[in-house]
Amino acid sequence: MTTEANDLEALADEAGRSAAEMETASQWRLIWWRFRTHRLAMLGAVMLIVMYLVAIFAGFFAPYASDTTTATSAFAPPALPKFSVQDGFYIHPSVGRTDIDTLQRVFETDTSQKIRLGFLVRGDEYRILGVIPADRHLFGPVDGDKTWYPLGADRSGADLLSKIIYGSQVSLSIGLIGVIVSLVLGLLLGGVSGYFGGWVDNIIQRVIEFIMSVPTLPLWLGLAAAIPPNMGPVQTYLLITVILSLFGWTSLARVIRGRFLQTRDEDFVLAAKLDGVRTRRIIARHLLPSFTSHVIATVSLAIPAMILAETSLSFLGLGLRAPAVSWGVLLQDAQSVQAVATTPWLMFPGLAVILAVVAFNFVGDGLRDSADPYGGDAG
Amino acid sequence: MTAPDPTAPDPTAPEPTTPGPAAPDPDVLDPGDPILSVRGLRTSFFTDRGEVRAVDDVSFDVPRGQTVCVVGESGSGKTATARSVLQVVDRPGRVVGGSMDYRPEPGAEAVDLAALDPRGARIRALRGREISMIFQEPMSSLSPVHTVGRQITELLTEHEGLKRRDPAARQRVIDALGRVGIPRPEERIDAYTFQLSGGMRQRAMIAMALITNPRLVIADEPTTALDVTTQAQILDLLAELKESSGLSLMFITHDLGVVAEIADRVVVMRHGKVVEQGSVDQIFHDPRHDYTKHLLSSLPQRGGAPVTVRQRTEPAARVPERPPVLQVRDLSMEFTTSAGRRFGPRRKAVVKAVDGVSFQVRPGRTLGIVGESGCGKTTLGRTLLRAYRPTAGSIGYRDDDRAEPVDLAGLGERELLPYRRRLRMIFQDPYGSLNPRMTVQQVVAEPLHAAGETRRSELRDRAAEALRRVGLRPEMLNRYPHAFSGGERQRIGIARALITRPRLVVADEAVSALDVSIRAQVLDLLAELQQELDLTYVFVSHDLSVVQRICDEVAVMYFGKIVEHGPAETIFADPQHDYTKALLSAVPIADPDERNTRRRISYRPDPAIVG
Repeated sequence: MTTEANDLEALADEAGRSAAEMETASQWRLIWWRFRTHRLAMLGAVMLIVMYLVAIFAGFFAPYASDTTTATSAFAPPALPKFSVQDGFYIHPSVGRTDIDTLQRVFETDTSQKIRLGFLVRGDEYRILGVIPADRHLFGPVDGDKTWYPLGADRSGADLLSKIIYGSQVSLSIGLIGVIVSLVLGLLLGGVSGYFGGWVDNIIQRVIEFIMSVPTLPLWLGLAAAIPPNMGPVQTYLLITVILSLFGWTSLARVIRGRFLQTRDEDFVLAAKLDGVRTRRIIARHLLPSFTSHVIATVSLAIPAMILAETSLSFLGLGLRAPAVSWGVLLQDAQSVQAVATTPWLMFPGLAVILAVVAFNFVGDGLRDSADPYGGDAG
Repeated sequence: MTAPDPTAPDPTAPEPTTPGPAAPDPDVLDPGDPILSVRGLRTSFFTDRGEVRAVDDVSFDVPRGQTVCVVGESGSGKTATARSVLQVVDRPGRVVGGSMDYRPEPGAEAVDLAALDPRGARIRALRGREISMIFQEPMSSLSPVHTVGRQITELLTEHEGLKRRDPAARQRVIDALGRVGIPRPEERIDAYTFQLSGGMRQRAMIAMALITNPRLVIADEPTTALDVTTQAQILDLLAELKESSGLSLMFITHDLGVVAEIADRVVVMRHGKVVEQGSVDQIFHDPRHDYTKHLLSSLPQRGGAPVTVRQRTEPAARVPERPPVLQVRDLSMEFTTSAGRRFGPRRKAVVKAVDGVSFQVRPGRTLGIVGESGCGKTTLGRTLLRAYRPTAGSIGYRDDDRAEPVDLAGLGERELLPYRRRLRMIFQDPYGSLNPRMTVQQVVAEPLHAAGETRRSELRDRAAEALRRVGLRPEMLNRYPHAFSGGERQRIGIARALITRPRLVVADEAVSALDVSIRAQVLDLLAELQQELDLTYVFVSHDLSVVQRICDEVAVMYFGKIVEHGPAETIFADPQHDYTKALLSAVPIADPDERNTRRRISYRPDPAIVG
């Protein structure tokens, strides 16, 4: 119902920009303006940025190194910091022992003593980005030898929060790397399939259908079992990524092929052809840019699936194994009903998985809605 | 009878209801007693960005037994007005104010349609029974999974309580289909919509609208999606049905030619408001509002028929020996589609889109290629530019009056490159043909870039010059296509075509997506550029009035073949082929006085298209 001038004004209105600014706004700027109005997506984006920052600077954010353990504190419950004007933040130390009759872990808090907590304290040594040695932590006990478990401790008496933070390095990056590998495969095969069509398209599509029809879990199990157990964590990690990507690319390839087919018939592509533009430039300058935003949206929705896949593999004990840390590895401890009943904090890594997946989905939804800023809106 | 509705403001009862006894014959034309009286109607769309007033304080009457045409350009709110009457406005729109008094019988008590619940039983009883609607696109308005008969029967089961399998109901549907001129209605009743041609589908829609003998029919651009010959038949049919069943018609259209053909009264809308209304004679002969005058003057048929272009036919006539730019011989373009059943042997179906076409175009002149949709004219235009590789024939192109012709038909992509600069195309759709991800400069300069020009300043200067030439400002170079209106975008498309200094330009329906007033401007621009740059045009169009206005020669296409070819004056004044005659007789004339002065000619050589 709106005329074109109104469209522009409405678009400008929506983004809170003047019509003059809109006129020279590129595709990415329009997408960004529209994305910003999407509140959940912005929330998700902020969450993701925080999560990735924490993962990159894990040593700084985690109070302890991932291999610091205290056997006496195994299964220590979460301890919330208390506050007094005199001492600032503090906790009372607690000592655990195993009840002989019930074999339960019992913790007694010694209220006479205090462990003072602080920000930017010295503690375990680590290397920033794996290079610069440092020992400052964002927060932790002022005396680096004392122990504090903000989210409780695991079986070996290691701080769960630190482990979750270190685990995010693997869990969050495996999604990204896995999706990048899938994207390369998907772009290549989907692009070939969509641009050339004919029998090439036919073969690629049948292969995709075949791969999609294979039940994933048994196949994962088989492939993961083929990873030699004596392999180092880095190699295992890489192999897991490859295994995940080998199945992840199919849906991306389909999306890309569909976009190719759709865009190929647009008038502006014919116009470019009649302008004498060469095929390579038509693909690079006219076809690809018109669906990059859609592909990014699809990709951002594919990352959570990767994260979940890694988590489930590791949870089943087929992916990474301790001492490598990932959310899935951590969740292995929460497999038994007993864990749920007596040490529910062992499920915190699951919360981290949920948060990451939800954040990615919010962002992906927002991107999908703003991917095509030129139309498709009611009015 | 009016249901209380707090949202509807009190209608200021426009005329007193005559508290008379039994109503007289409804067929009696009584202008003082309109069947529908709309007062202060307001319809808004509530989008995320706030309220959009599609219909803003609109008042008009539909006199009993007459045809009221609501005209306006796209976005004027005419469709929203039509849909408001039946309260079938698409979400998120709704009627927010005003009254629509519907009086089924003269003197009967009025029902305020605006006050009824859009989903209530009262309005549902009126919809389709007393007031019915004919939509623009019959393919999407009729369900493809039910037979035509079933869909029409549904109205009878819904409103008259007939059983679906009742033979009487079936007979009524057959009669209704017959009445709207569908041949062999007893067979067509069991046809699905995709088995009917566009014209037949629209007839079926009309049969559906009329089966319950409604008093008021609202037709929303019922002929816009149809070819001109089919449009003529549908208009004739509506006029005839109006006479025979005494119904009142509210007709929404953007085409003033159609208005002149059928209207009794005209309501001119713009930006959601009524700018002028009056009798059809008054509107056409004595328009008061500037906008109405503007609309009328931009009609190609009326802009003083031989305009700009016609005046400069002398140079071509003076130098008749200039050799043709384009010499097309026996050009054919076939597409193979794999048809056939899903299981079983595949057959290759061959569609001959262009079938042995020959013609030539002399420099500086304009050849119009006209025909109905599906006649192959667009394919012909694209084949000339070698968007496709022709199946047979030759395209002789002479780059210079003294040069030897080159056959473009056989060249490979690489050999074609220099000619891509000399033969250019203007596209129909100003939205789809400009890449929204590129700035105007990138779009316009792309052909230069492709030709190997990479100096930035040169690209920019040439693009700026091209923009200036088509009447746009060079400052617009950095903008993106979304910042422009349809007419401006078409100018950008023209600038892109001209930047390589071409010799021949194929304009594929270059103005048909534009509103009338913009259309005239773009046509003038094209004529001007032709003179300035010594361009040769091949103008592909279904719109005969446009072709008449700017073409020197006309080729009429029918099913892939050129059936008639000659100077425009001769073709329009004295058509020889029966199809040309039918085509010409179907064009609506934008003058109500000319109504019924012509005899429609129909051309049906091929039983398949009766379909």
